[in-house]
Formats: sequence, C-alpha cells, structure tokens
Amino acid sequence: MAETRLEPALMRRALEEAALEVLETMCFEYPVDEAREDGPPEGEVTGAVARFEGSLRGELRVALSGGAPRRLAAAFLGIDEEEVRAQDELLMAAELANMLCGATMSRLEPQGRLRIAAPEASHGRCGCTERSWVRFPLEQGEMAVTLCCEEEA
Amino acid sequence: MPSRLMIVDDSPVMRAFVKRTIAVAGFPASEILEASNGREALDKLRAAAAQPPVDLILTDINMPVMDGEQLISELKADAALRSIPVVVVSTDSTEKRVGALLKLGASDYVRKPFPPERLSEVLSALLGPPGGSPGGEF
Repeated sequence: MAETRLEPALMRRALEEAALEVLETMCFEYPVDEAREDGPPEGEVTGAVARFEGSLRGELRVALSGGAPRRLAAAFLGIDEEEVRAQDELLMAAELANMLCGATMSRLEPQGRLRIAAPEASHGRCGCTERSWVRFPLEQGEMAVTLCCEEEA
Repeated sequence: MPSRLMIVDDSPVMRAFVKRTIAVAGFPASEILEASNGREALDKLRAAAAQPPVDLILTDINMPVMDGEQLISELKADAALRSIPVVVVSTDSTEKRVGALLKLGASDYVRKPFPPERLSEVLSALLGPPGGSPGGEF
C-alpha cells in the first residue's frame, strides 16, 4: 500500500492507546510489560484482519499467541478457560480486530469517515513479515497488532 | 419492572458480552431477544407485535444484510415500532457518524470498546435505575 501522511510515531501511539483501552475495558487484561515494536510473532497464532475505508483506507491485523486467545476469550465471554471452544477464540479475535480498528481510527481521524468490513479470523502462521508490529506481552502469551493505511483517493 | 430488550449485532461474542453486562449491572430483563442484523431484528419485532413490546434496542451499525442505520430508519418509519428507544453500540464512532445517527433517531450512542459502567449509565437513563440483584461478577 502507498504511504500515508500519518507519522509512524502517531500511528504507533494511537495503536498502543487503543490496544490498552480494549484490553482493559473489554477483556479486563493488562500487559505485564511495555509494548515493543518488532517483526510479527513467530509460530502459530490466532489472528484476524479488519479492513477499513473512508477518510483513510487500509487494514489492521491482530495476532494472539500462547495462551492469550483462550484467556482473552474467557474474560470477554465471562466463562472459564476450559469452556472456551476454538470457534470462540476466532470470534474473539475478529471482534478484537474490529474494536482495535475503530478505537485506533477514531484517534487518528476523529472527524473522518470510517467503514470497517466484517473482520476475517483464522489460525495459522502470521503473515505481513515486512511490517512493524506492536507487541504486548500478556500474563499468558502475547497480543501483536499492525496497522497499514493510506489516504482515500 | 423487568424490561424486554433486543440486542442486534452480527458478532455472537459481542451479543454475549452485552447480555452479561446487562445482567451484571442488575437490570431485570424478562427476556433478551437477539438478532444478527437489522432485517432479522425487524422480522422478530414484527412477529412479536402482539406480545409485550420491546422496551429498548441495542444495535451495532456495521452488519451484513441490513446495517444499523437502515434498521433505525425502518423503525422510525413504522408507527408500531417508532417509540422504542434505540441505543447504538458500535466501533464506528467518528463525530460525523454519531451525529448522523442521533439525528436519524437513535437515543444514545455507546462507543466500543466501553467500560460496563457506560452501558449501565445509558440503560439507567432510558429504563430507570437497575432494581434487580446483580447477576454476577466480572
């Protein structure tokens, strides 16, 4: 995708604030350490992508690794981790991508237009190796997020 | 008095989250209807027309088949349904969008992500304070 006028530091700050807000208010989860910028998580992840258009267009990807998908789904649904099904983890990842996308874009473009398509979720290895990811270490596993956007033509 | 509510969202995990928030806040809901899009919501509301009316609808905006904006328009155009308060619960929270939805007839707007207290505050304003025992803990 083409470069956007948004500064990378601004995008990172918006992503980080949005991620902390979503984790805290919807999953009652707090990172155990500071977020760091790195490549994508290695190994199998539960991931989701939310594509958006409006004043800006692009996509936000979230990847949950280790025990994070199960723990976050359990917290969100208010059930024990043993009760979480694989399908719940995927649905949770999709909703997480949706909320992260909305919360990030409302910080970057509060006056703009935004339409988020239904997020797609899957299990597998993480793509987008060329991008910079913001990675949040959690008590069990990790949440990683990357945002790519360009101005609407 | 227990309320009859409807949650409209294409995400089953978000419907479950909202349901739990309502229960935890102690709002006595005699029934919570669910729909995954605006069309399904209208069908259920019209099929239930002879039953006690729904006291409040909580709806997402971006949904397949019929989105929340179209749902509000259809509700406000229907004499039997137009008085039901509609609260939008959505990630789509740019100022223009919120303003347009309120103008269309939405009673209030809750931006996702939200702390449970925010939803509780909106429900209290529209339904009165919760009278039941809290249904659980977060």
